[in-house]
Amino acid sequence: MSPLASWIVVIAAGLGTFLIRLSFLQLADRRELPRPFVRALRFVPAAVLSAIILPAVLKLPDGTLDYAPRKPEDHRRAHCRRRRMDHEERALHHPQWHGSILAAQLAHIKMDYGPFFCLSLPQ
Amino acid sequence: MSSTTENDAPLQDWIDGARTMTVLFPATLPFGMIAGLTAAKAGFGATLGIGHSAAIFAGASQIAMLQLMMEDAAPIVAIMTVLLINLRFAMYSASLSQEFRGLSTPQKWAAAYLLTDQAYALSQLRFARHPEMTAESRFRFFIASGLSLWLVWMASTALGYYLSAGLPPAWGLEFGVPLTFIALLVPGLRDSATVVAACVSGTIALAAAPLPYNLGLFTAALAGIAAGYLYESRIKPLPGNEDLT
Repeated sequence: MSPLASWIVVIAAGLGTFLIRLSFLQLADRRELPRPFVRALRFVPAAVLSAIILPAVLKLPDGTLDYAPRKPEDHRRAHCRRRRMDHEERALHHPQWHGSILAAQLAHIKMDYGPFFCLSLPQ
Repeated sequence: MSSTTENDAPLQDWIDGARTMTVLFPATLPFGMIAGLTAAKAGFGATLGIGHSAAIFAGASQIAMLQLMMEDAAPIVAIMTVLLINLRFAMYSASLSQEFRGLSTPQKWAAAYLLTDQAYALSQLRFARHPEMTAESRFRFFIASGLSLWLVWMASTALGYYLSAGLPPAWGLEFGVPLTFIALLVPGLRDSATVVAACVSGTIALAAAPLPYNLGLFTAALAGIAAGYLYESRIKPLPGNEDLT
């Protein structure tokens, strides 16, 4: 992609993202949001974060999901194998990841760190 | 600006906002470095390579965009991919609009620019714990946390950009990111309805993971929100909400 095209993409993507972020913040004072809509907003954090985490944690290098229950030692071995793979090479060879690059970036998860990390959050 | 009691509370909001965000710095730093080094690999100059983090300020979408650009995807595909991945911010925006009622337009623009998963989720936890906070107070807390994350994000992008040649990919810099999201999710699961929302959303996200452009995430989130809403309305209404269907 030419430098000019790169600039255009970055600026358009940035502007569009800003407008998405601004959307309801800007509109809500002028127009009352429907009450069921406001009640539903309470579930936004849990639903969005959960939808980000689960596929990211269970995704395998071949793009499939790791549903099958395994013995702990098998799981650990698979995990080490995953870590050794060059993540970038994987992302390039698996077009299905391009739409969810977050998941691609997160292929090596250490789920066992999760609980410890949670403990460090302020109460 | 005269009495100390008037100044204490605003200052405290700023300090609390920035201090609460610090727990997420360790996970943000490597993620920002990935954005910086991916930009360097995509052949961006320093201005664009670091500046794109300021323009977009949404890590997952930035990295997706850079990957597409490296593969010479059409510009419109790169732009649309970023916007689809960032569509979830519309939900955050709607949610925050309830907290930020009555703020001025410049304040709303500042809040919109600094709106991220992290700042949103931390603020929601804070606001739920302190319902007495005023809109101004909420705004200060939000801006302080958002701005501190922004500074770390920019610094880590620059670091990744300049270190790009020397960083072995085997470092697995990205492992901290889901931890951030797990740490943000868990404290928010306060009642059975939110747990239902999280479970339904997570299950559908797994089933819909093969869908392109993060559509799975969006579908799953909407289904999770609907499930939590219906559960609360039909099965287990909150006290005082029985009249609502």
